[in-house]
Amino acid sequence: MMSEKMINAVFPILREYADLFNISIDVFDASGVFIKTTEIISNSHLTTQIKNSRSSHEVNELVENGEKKYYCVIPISNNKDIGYIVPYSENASSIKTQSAAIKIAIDSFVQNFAISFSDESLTNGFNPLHKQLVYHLLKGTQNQELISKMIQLCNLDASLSYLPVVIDCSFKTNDYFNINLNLGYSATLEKSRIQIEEVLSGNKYLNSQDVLAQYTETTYIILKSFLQVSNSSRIYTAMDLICQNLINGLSKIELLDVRVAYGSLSKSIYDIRSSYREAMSLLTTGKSEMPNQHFYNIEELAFSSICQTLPVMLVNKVVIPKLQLLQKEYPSSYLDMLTTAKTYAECCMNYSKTSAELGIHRNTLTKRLENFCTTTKLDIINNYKDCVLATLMEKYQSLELAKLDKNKGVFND
Amino acid sequence: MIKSNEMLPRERVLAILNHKKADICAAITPTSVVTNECIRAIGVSAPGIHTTSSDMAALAATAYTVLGFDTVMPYFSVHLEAEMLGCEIDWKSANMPIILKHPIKDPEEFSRPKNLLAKPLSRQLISAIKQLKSKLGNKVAIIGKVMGPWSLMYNLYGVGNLLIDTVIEPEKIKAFIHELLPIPIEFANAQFEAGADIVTWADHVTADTISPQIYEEFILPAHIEANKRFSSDQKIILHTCGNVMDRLHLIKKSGFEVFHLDSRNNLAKAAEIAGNDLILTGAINNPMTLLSGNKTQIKNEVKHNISAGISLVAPECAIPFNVSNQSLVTLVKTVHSYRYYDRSKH
Repeated sequence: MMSEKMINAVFPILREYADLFNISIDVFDASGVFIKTTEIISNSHLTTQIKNSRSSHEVNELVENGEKKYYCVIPISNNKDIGYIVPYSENASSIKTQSAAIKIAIDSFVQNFAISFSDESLTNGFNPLHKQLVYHLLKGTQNQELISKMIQLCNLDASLSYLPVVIDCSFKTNDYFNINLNLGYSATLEKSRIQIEEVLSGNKYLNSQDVLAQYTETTYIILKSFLQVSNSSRIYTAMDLICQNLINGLSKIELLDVRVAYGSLSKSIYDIRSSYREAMSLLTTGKSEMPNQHFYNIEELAFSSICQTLPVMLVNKVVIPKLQLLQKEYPSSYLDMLTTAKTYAECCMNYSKTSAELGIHRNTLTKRLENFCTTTKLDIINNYKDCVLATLMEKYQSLELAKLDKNKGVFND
Repeated sequence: MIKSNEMLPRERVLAILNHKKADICAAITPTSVVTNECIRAIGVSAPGIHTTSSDMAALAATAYTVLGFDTVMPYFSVHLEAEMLGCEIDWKSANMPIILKHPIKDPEEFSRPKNLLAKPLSRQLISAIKQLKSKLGNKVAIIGKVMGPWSLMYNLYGVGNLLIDTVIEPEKIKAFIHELLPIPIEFANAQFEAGADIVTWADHVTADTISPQIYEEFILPAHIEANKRFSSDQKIILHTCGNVMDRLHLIKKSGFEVFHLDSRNNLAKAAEIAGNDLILTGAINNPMTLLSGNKTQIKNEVKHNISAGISLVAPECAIPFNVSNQSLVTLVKTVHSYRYYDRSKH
């Protein structure tokens, strides 16, 4: 059936053609029922004739109030018939050509924005054009003209600053497979997806300049718009609250497990990709380090974020060599030593707190720290900067662990 | 049956506003219809057209005497209250004035000045309305204008800061709205007393900046409160630019009897939501139709608006100064060629 979205999308085009050709155009649904007209009043009663029409090239005659009118019936479809467009004119010779022009325009529009009118998107709560826009922005499409056109069609103000929010959704699964349970589970999943869209598009902090789209099967993207302000830290404060608000709304959805992170403010929507990568990096790191949290912000993951972008020289000259020394000297306990050094730094270089935190005797702690200092030549007991380096080493090691040969546990340059 | 053009413009407009029979549809000016041609024709210029009552009245009158509109409106910018409340304004800008500096860094700094009506710009507008009343008598309806509290906050505090504070300092913003609300109420009442038949209440609560929930939480209570302070004779037109389809049902609850909307809205659907409780006015597109369009396009757009149920047709917002008089005359003449049809009875 012809959706309201479809009608609203194509109707401006039909009005333009009606004005251009000085004709009138009616829109009918798949059953031939009248929906809308470019005229003030339509006297159309064409249901049967539309359903019986064989070709959009066929010129048909209609007599109304003693006046002859000519019309063609143009099906509008997206792999299946979902409506009809009927241009009318008093001029039999021109209506066929005019109808052909209208058909080309509508077919082209529907084809270029096919995803907007797919069965799925017809019921989607989001603006279907947003999905295409997000896809092109995040995939790094070089076609700036296409992106500009989409921005225009979405009625977005390209002068605004944007910030990407990544919402990672996973559905809690049942460990037991039971065909009856599984069937019910699928229906619940579908219901949950619809609810996600309702919650996101109904969020009170979002406006029509914001872009909302389902990006992958499990990821939703919001491009949140902001006007420039002198103190941009306020934008980030606002974003923390907005994300928490999103999580509060989404947490009410059955079976849904949600993780949210956002990237830095991009002065232009065209350059949003690097901010999106920041958000994804925070999300990935957060899910690994703090799996029970739902919102990952930069403050809590600062160290991990920094470690992912350490200067190459620092890594190759300091971090890796010192890790190698530690591993060589204490092959079975170097991980404990790194944890000890990190905990010592986190406890503000306080022996009592550190030993309590680790659950070890103060003497054991002292020995470990002294061995660490001797091996790495980092005086973490007395020097705060060396303490920071040791913490970076520990963080680097935990991030890089997946790249190691786990059997050998060997660091490679 | 009332014959075409049987009524005076003022009678026509007030009849439509009061759901009574009118002869033809009306072309009105809830927002500025100032053009460079009219400015040159009567020999006025900025800043006088914004700040001097005689210039304001003379230019406003051209909406009727030159262009043929059924109303006149002497407040062309959106900045009178802004300056009265401390904004630094460039009044000599080639088009509309520009705010150079927002005076408020924190909403808690704001304190409502006493005797706002005694301020020079306030007196100039009141005087302009009185001059129009004297000159045009009861022939043409006079529209005043006030800025609502949300728009005032835009001017005083800045849009960016305001929107952020709806998230991080919501109670401060609500208090700020409460503090500002008496200003447009007092100013509107003064304009009615001076002779205005209608007052436009401009509050830019568009979907481009805020969600319907924010409108409902922050501004709707203020709108409801404001409308309790006006009598049924005092007609207020709420003006909001941009897409408002998602909050029109809320605007209907505000108590405003008339809503001025722009062409980005689905007019037929807006009319359906508005029903008989909210009279719609607008919504002729400015940049595409009035500025760049030809006569046929203007006529077609007027037709579309009227067919959607709008009997008080107007440009969608303040028009660019370089819109031609010819475009506006075409608009007015086309509107006046349509008989008034009282849809509330059908």
